Amino acid sequence: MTDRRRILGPLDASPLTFESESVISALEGEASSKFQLKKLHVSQPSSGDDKIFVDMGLVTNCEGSCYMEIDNTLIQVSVYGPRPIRGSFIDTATLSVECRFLPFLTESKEFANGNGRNSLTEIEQRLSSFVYSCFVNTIILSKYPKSSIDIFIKVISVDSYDTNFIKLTNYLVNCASLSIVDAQIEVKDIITAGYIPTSIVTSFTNLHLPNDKIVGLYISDDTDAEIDDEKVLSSMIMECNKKARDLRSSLNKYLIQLVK
Amino acid sequence: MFKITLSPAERSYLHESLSCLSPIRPDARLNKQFRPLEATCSFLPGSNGSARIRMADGAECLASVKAKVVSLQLNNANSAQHLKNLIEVDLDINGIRDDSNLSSTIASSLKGSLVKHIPLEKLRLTHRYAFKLFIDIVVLSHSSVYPLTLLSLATYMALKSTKLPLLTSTVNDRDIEEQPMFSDDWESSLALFGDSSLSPPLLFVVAVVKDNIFIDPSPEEESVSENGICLTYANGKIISPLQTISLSPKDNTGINSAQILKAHALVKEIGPLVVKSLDEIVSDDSIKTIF
Repeated sequence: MTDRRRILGPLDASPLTFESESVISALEGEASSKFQLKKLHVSQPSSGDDKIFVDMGLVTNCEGSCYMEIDNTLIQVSVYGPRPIRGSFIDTATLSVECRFLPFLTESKEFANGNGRNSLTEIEQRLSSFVYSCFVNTIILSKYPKSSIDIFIKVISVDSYDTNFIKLTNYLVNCASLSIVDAQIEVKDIITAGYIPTSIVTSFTNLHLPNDKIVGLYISDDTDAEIDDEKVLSSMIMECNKKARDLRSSLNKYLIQLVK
Repeated sequence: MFKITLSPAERSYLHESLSCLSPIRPDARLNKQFRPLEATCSFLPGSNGSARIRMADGAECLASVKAKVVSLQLNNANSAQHLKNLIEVDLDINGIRDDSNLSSTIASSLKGSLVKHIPLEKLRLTHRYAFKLFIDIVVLSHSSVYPLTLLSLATYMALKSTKLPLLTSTVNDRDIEEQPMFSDDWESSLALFGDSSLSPPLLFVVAVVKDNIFIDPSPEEESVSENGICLTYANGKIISPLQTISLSPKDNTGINSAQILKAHALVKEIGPLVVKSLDEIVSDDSIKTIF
């Protein structure tokens, strides 16, 4: 049987038209002034180790999106949903996270999976499942029955190719967190991630509890730290938590500034 | 894998009883007690080491270790990287696609921990040749969301029972290339972990409910747990990787560092006991039940 459906573009797609010179120059002028505005949004954590450029809502056909630049690391996250799903009733939303490196980033042998990049590579899977495990704790899924929330992460460029991408994991969580905010999905709290070279912690301050809670912890297998020692482990967690909290306060400032 | 669907009342009852000060598990186990399991070792004649583990609920896992002689293209700069490539882990979980997130995350965390704890130098035969280990793991059936504990117990036993044939030809083939020759007497074979100070890592998944930590959670317990932690234990120590995992998509709340430390202490306590009972099976070669 032939497919008789018509191939339609996105609902809000606008037809391609060729503007006259004057319109183009006007548009360019507008774009550059916009760019200057965005530059103001650069937020700097008080710890001062990473300068982050953030812009939210760049992607228009999704519910929420966030673009983040940290040195040469570029990440873009878009959130689709909550959108209704077909099939039988379920009482909570299902969450899915997909993280992809852009194809030209994956020339290095360790990423290649040799079958035409149809499936995610091991590292992409690991990053996706970490981000998933953080957000499944945070998003109030029971508010959205019979629906799905999909988080798509695109890594456009990576600064350093450390084997376990601890730094990148940290940025992914922060970027996804802001795009969830942009999508106005109900969460228990905004989460931020903090890292030290070997481990990563994401934490959120629960309003009902006095202490910070950890929603995701990952200590990579190439760490040299003696995590057998409880003191070392807890000090590592403390340090990550502190970083996450610092970032949290600067993100809060940024969000407040945005509302104003 | 079958999905546990509990009614809200059942969930609440189970959650309450697990979060008591002295928790009550549905099968009356202690929080540090495994479900009974049956284990066999070295039962596959065609592989160098093998193990099979069966849980009381029908979950079953087979692990096999095969060694193959490969030639090393050595240039000293990346010899360490080459040695890392001497271990290949292949995982097949019944009912789950090979390229699914779960399967590849489990395989990568297993491989990551194995590479550091297998005596790679023992795999090295001569200057030009080495053994490459192919670790194949098949989970025939499982009830848990995250069957990592089962997998890692089977892998541990398979590796512990791995025997490599004794090399009879010369070790020094730096100048003249020579195919390695082996003794055909299995009595004189060498155990991979024979006199090594290393031991294969064990990965434990624990479920967290309020302030209580449960080892070897049953599917019902997993579905009401607030969080899961995966810890690695080797040579009497907790080692990395250590990570949180979500065992159920409902009622997750996150954890605090006290709970992580509690899980840390629990695995440190039961680790030696598990190692001891697994080692007994490996040395005895007959079916046994461990608790």
